[in-house]
Amino acid sequence: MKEIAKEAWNYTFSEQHPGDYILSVVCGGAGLYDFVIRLTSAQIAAYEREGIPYISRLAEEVRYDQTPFNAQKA
Amino acid sequence: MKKNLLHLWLFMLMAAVSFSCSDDDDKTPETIKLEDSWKDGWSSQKVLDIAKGQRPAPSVYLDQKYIDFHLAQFNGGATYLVTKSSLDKYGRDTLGYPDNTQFVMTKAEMDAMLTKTAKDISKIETELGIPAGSWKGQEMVRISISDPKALNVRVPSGNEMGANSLWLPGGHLPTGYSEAVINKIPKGKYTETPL
Repeated sequence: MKEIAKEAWNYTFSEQHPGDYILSVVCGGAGLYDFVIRLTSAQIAAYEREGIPYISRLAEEVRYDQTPFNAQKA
Repeated sequence: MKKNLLHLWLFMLMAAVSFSCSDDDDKTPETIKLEDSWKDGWSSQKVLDIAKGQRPAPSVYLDQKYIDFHLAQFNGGATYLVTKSSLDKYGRDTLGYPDNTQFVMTKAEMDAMLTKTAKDISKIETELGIPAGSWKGQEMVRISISDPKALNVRVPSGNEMGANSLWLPGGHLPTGYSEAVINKIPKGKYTETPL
């Protein structure tokens, strides 16, 4: 597993195998937990286009509402 | 006769004192309810209708008496739960989200909740509204802050990084526990204890 980017108490973005990307997002309030997703091909394409700013935005979306990302749970 | 008059006088004096003490204006209420504390024209839904990042400070829509009452509950200490693996990953020098916020509960309510659940992780998840299974098999840690006032304890605005789609205005979790926000917590300002 290769760590690509990490911001303390925000997210960790890693490449598990070539082309297999994992995003671990810090979520919650008085109880903090990690929500971990595997990026879809569309998200990988967006990352390749925009870089880390896209990952940062994706982490924010995941933190706000995990429901749309349940199918991607790693 | 004199004795009867004295009794009558004493009775009237006691009645007057009793009446004076029952005056509602002089009473300090044991609790100030959120539903009685909205400023004119505001409601929970009106705040929720404003996008995260643009929500006003709670003092815009809540009475100051309510805010003071709510925050006074944190005088006995603030606390939150986190996995040990997160602490190991992100470090212990400074805790809290990068936007200088960290949600906390009152020490008293956390103590009561842990007693109620007997520290059963799945029950704690339910009590705090954490998605089921998020903490399964994890070593849990309780972070305690003895002086949250020193870290600017405040009623959440809903703009904080940790505020999600279930956030409610007024400083309570959907499950009812009181919550507040403090600044990032430097080493030395908190204690870490295994759950």
